Amino acid sequence: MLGGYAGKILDVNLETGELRDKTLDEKTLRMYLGGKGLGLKLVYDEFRPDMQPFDPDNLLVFASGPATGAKIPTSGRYHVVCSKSPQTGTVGSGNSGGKWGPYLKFSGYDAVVFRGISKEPVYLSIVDGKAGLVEAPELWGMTVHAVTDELTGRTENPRKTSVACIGPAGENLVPFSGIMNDKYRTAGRTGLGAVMGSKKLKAIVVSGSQRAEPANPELLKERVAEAMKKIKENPVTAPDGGLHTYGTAVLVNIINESGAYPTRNFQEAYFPEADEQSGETLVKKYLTGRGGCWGCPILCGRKSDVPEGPFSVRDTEGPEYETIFAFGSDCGVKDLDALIKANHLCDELGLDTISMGGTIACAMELVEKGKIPQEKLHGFNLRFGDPGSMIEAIWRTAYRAGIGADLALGSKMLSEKYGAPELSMAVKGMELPAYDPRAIQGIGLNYATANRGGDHVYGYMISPEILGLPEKLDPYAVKDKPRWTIILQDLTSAINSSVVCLFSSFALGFPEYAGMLAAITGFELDADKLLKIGERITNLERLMNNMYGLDRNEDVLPKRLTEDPVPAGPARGQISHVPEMIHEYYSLRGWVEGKPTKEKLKELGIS
Amino acid sequence: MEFEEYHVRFLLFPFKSLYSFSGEIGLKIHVKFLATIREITDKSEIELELHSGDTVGTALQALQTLYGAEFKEATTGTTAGGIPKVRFLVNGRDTDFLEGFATVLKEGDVMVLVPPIAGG
Repeated sequence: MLGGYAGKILDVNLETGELRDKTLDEKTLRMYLGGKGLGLKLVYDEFRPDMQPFDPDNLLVFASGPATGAKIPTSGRYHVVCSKSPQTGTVGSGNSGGKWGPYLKFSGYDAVVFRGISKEPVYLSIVDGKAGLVEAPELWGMTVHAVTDELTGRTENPRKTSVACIGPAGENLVPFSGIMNDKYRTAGRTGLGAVMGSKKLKAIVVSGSQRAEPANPELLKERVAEAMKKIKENPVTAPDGGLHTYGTAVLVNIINESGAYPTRNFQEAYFPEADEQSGETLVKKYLTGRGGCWGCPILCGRKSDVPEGPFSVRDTEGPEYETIFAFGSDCGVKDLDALIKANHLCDELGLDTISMGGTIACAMELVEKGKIPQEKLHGFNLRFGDPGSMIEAIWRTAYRAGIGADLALGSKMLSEKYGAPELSMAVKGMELPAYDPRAIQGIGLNYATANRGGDHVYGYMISPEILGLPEKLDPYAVKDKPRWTIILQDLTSAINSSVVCLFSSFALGFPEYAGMLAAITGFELDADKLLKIGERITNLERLMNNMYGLDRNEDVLPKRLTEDPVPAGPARGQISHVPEMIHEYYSLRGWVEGKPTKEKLKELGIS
Repeated sequence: MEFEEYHVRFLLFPFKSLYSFSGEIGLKIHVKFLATIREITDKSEIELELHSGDTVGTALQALQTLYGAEFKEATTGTTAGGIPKVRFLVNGRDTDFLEGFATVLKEGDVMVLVPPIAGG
C-alpha cells in the first residue's frame, strides 16, 4: 500500500445505479499524484473529442491527493475535474476547501468518478467504506444551506459528516454554477455545478474514520515541522499575519492603490470608494470571527454579520477579495453590506461569484450603452452603482427569470446576443478575476494561457508582481514574465494534485512540497521531479483542450485590455502586452501555436 | 494632534526653521496607511507637508517621528523570513522600480505604505 492513499476509487454509474471499487495503479499515481492530475488522467483515459457538456459520459471526478487528510499544513482541500465544461468548452476544473476532501479520504476513498445521468434526483452517501445511491426527489430545488442541514441531519454523526452539493443554479444548468461544500466553500469555476445538475446528482455525503498512513511518519514529522516554521514566520501566512487578520479582502486597497482594481466592467482600474469595501473596513464593521479549512494553520476564512439595513444578512461566511471586486467595483457598487449579501446568495444558490459578478457588470454596460433594449428588461432597472439591482440579478440568473435567462448565458454569449461581444471581459468564456492586466502584465499572461479560461490562481503572478513573494517583480515589465508564469502554473498543478492549499505557497516552495510528499508516499521526489509532474499535468490538460479544438486563437485577452489604455488612476495609460509575451511563453513551454509538440509530450510520458 | 499631523516639517539641516526663512518651497503629499500599519496610526490617510527635494526616505523619517516607536518598528527592516516589513508605492509604482528611498516626491503625490500581507 502506498503511503497517503486510501487505495481505491469509487466508480458510480448514475444511469444503472452500479457502484464499483477500482484500484489505482502505482504508475499512474507516480506520474499524476492525485487530485487534479488524477482527475485529468481518468478523463483522458475515456476522452472523446466530440464530447458535449451535458452528455451522459461527461465524467465528473472528485479527487483527493496523497496529502489530503494527512498531518500536514493546509491539507484540507479537494479537486474536481469534468471532461467538458459547459462554460468554456475546455476540460472543467475546480478546487475547494472546507473539510469535504479529508472526509472523502476518511470515508475510505481517494476519489469518486460519476458517469451517466440518473433518472431521478439522487445523492451519494459514503460512510466508512460503504457507499450507496439514495433517490431523493424531495431534495431537488433546495438551497445549498437547506440541503446540507437536511443531509447531515440524516446521519448518525453530523459533526463528522461533510456534504458537497449543488444549489438551484446547478439544477437549472447555469453554466457558471459551482459545487458547494460545508455551505460556504466552493469549487466555483468552469460550471461544474451544471454538470452535476445535468446528472441529477444533488449531493455527496461523506463520513468515516479511516486514516491513510504515511510511508515514513518520522521523516514526515520533521519536514512538516520545517514547513510550519516557514509558514509561521511568513507575514502573509503567520498566525497573526495578513491573511488571518484581514482575509483575502486585504487585497482591495493594495490592488486599488496599484491602479489595478477593475471597475465597471474593466472600463477603469481605480475605484475611489475602494476603502469602503476593503479588508480593513470589513474587520471594523462586519467581521465576527475567523476560521478556516481542515488542517489549516493560516485560517483566512471570515465570519460576517450584517444585522441591520436593506442588505442585512445574519451569521454568514466570507466575503473573499474576488467576490468583493465582482459585485463591488466591477459593478460600480461601493456598499460592503450589499457585497456580503450578494456573496451569501451565491453560496445558497450555488453560483461562482466571479463569473456572476462579471456577467452582471457586462449586462450593466450593455444596458447603459443601449444594447439591451428597455423592453427586454420589463422594468428591471439594472445599472452600475446600484446594489439593489445587482443583488436582484443574482436571483434572476439562478432561476432564469426575465432577463435572468439571458444573464444565465454568461457574459460571452450574453454580449454576443446583444451585438456587442467586445463588452465581455472573459477568456475562453470565463469571466476575468480581480486584477486589471493592463497594470499587472504577468497575471494577464496567466489569464490568457490558463487552460481553464480567465483564471487567476492557475499561475498566481500577483504573488511576485505585487506581494514580492518569493521575490519582487515589476508589474509593468514584460521581461521574464513568461518564465515566471510557467513555473507558477506548473507549481500550482502540483499543488492541486497533492492536494494542498495554494496559500501555503506564499511561504513554501518546490523543495518543501517535494520533501513532504516523498515522506507521505514513499516516492522519490525532489524539487525537479515535482516540477516535472506539474508540467506533465499542465500539458495533459492542454492536450485535451487542443483535441477539443482550442489553440492559440483562444489564448487572447479582450481587446479592451490590449488596446484601450487605463483612463485614470495610478496605472493611467497602461495596456496589456500579452500579445508580445505569448510567443516566448509558447517557446519556453515547447508548444507551437498553443499546442504541445510531439517531442514535449513524449518527454513527459503522455501518449 | 491634528494640527501637528498636517504641519509636520522634517528638519534636514540645523539652520532650517519652522518658518522657512530660506525661501524653500513647501509641498503636500497624500500618505495612505494599509492594514497593520493603519492600526498603529489609527488613520487611513493623511496629508504630509514636506520640502521640495524631500524623498520617500525623508518622508518615512517624518512619519516615524510623528507616530513613534511602534510605527518605526513596523516600518524598518525585514521580517524574520527576510521580507521587507513595508513596501512603498508612489503614485501606484513600487519604489523598487523608482529610486527606492531616494525617490523624490512632488506636490500631490500619493505615497502608500503596504505591509506584506496577502493574496487571493
